[in-house]
Amino acid sequence: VVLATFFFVPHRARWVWLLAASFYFYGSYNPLVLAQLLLSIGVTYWLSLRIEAETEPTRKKRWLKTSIGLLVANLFAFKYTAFVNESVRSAFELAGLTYPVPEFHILLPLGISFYTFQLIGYVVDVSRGTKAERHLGIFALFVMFFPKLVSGPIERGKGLLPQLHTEQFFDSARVASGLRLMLWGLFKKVVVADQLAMTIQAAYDKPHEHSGVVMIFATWLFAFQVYCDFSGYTDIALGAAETLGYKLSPNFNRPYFATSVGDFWKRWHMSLSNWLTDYVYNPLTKTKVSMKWFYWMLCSLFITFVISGFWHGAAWTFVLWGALHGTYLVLAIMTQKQWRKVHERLGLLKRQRLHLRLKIASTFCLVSLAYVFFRSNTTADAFYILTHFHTGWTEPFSGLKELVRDNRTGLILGLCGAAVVMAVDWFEAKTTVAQVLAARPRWVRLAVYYAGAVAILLFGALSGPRPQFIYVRF
Amino acid sequence: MEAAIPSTSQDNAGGAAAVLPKPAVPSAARGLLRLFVEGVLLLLCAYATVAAFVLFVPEVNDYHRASAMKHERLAALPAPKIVLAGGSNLAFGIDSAMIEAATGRKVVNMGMDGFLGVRFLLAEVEPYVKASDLVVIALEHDSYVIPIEGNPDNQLAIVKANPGALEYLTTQQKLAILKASHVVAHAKVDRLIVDFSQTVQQKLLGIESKSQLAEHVGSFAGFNAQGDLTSHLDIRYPGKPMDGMDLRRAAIEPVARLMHEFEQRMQKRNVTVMFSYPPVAEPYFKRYRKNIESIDAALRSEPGAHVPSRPDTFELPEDLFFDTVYHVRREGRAIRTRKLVDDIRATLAETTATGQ
Repeated sequence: VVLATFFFVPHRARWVWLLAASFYFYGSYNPLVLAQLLLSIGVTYWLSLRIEAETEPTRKKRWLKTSIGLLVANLFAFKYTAFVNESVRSAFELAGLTYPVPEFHILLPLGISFYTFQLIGYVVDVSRGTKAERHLGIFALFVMFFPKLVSGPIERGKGLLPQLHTEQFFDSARVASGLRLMLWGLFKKVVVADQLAMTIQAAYDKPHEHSGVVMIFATWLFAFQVYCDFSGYTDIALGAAETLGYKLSPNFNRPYFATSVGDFWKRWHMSLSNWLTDYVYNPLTKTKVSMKWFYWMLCSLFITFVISGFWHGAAWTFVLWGALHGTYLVLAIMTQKQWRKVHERLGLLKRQRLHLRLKIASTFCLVSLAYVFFRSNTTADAFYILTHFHTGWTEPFSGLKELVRDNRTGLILGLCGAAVVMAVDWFEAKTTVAQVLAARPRWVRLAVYYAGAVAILLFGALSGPRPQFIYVRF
Repeated sequence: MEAAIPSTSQDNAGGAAAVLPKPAVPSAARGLLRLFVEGVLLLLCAYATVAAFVLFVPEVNDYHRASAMKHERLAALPAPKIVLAGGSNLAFGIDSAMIEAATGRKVVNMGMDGFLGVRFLLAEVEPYVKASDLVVIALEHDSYVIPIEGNPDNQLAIVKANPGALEYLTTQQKLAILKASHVVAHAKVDRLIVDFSQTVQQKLLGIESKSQLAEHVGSFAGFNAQGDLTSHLDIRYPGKPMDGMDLRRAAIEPVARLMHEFEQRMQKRNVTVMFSYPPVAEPYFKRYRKNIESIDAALRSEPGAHVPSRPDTFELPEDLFFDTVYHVRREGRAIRTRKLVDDIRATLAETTATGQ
């Protein structure tokens, strides 16, 4: 409906139309959280103008700190209060004390982590000299633009705001490209992620009942589930925006073909990685501290990844997931020379292809290992899984058979779908599928779209309870 | 999906735009219309493929073909007859000949599939019953968990095998079938994959799977003239019978209301309705005794309802069952039918005495 009418609405009124669609989209989830979002937008808008207007650096900094403080406090209040309460309760119980505050739950506004980071990035940019947005409606749309509101990408003002001011003209090739991207995202979500979800859940909900082999298999499956789920969402978001003429930031670039964990983070959730680099890691490394810069750089790196983990979810499992990635990177930097020597001795540097493949495989294993924390329901579960990886190797198939018993076909379809996604990723190292399709006759393109639609209808998990997008929770 | 009409921002910004009248809105309309038409055509083709899959990939077996045969018998038999309405517990667990011999009335066993939904199971019987007929309703306890409207997958299967069954479906049910066609197609994909893996397993290891056995048994050829399935009677199922549904999720009141409304309509036509229970394997019965007793209480709540036996009358040892906790084999079928005959006799005697 939004697309069908968008190009008929006069340019000066389009922001109203898109904002109304975003209001509807967000408000249909829960009108109460809409009020909270509007308050955040209003306050940030006003503060950003104050920051821009202020010429005195100390005062400017004060306004900036107030803005960031308010936004972080808002995020903390909604997302982390209950978690802190429970953590303090556990600490009290460990010490044998009674904790007086009862357990409580707060309604988590959809996409709060995403739009909070976007708003923080915006006020920091304004304090660094970027022009603040004067038009409150456009500013609200910059935050609320419905394709990316709940799970990103985390946009920057300089990327999206000028686009929202520019008149977008209808371009059938671009609309078709957007629809194609949405179709691909849907395929990833319903044919791969949702088909694999049931098997993974069966393993992770009762890790004590499964052997190490089974948990390794489930973790490996989860690597594909989370990738197809999140990149599927992103493709749908990017595609929806593209149909309207807007270009959102890319979030993925073939992450499972990364050759190191550092490289992985340049390819996975790129808008978050860039945000963390610009607004956490870089400022941290520039902070004056008493230790040597090299060690402080490593500390900054580690802190950035812990923050990244904490941003994902209010649970120790996410913190540990982030910390593990931070540890990987710190160790990689510290042992860079030694690794090079090892590779030299093994003769890998002369065998470039094998070397590359080994690096891709080892990175994938390290990333998958960290997913144990990401997916586990509790830290106790995660440690149990990690400490029992060695079990079940004498009879590996009996446990696996038991795990897949109730969803054998879903697993087969999901794995086939994952193979297609990985093949496309592999292929896109040289050229994009979009470019290849564009060079083909029209009927070939239509046949591909038709095949995609049929695959979604026939092979997708479209019946029964549908798992929500994983990153919507964050 | 791609229109050939160039109308990019570059075009509009170029020199040509200054000469020609600005065609932004009309070209957008044409382009969108073209995209829309192509999109709809593409979706229609995709759905046509799904429909072809649903129609041309054969069902798991020809079990549902028995529906047409049962409807023919139901329409042909004169009153007074006995009509057995319910799910597969009746198909697997009734010896109609024994009932005919004991009561002197012709029997039609309409029991096919509980997933068709209670509304359908009653609707397919209603037009054909006549004054002085006896309708025996014996629903699986799962029927209180399954939605009243039934499962579109199963309804589609029965309509495919017996197009006449379409007239017993409500418009809402027909629409649900249309909406669920891709789910049915997906279920067929699932089955093809399972079949393929089982065939490989059978060829390589010589193992016949449990589901293959059940599928083989549930065929049209296995039914007798009265509508009883007989192909499973002497086969011992490898392993334990499959559990029924979690009866703690049962929504008893709407189903009981539907059955009582049916009973009232039948009373007006001088047809007797008797409520009975399916045979149930002991462990399952014990686990859900409370829920099953609630079902019984709901059925008895209407004054004058004929419910001669309690549900535990049909609680039987597990080794008398075939593939599910509701499907009995030969010995179980004989026990269950004998008990049902007693109930039918009692009900008929009662209705004769009260002049109903």
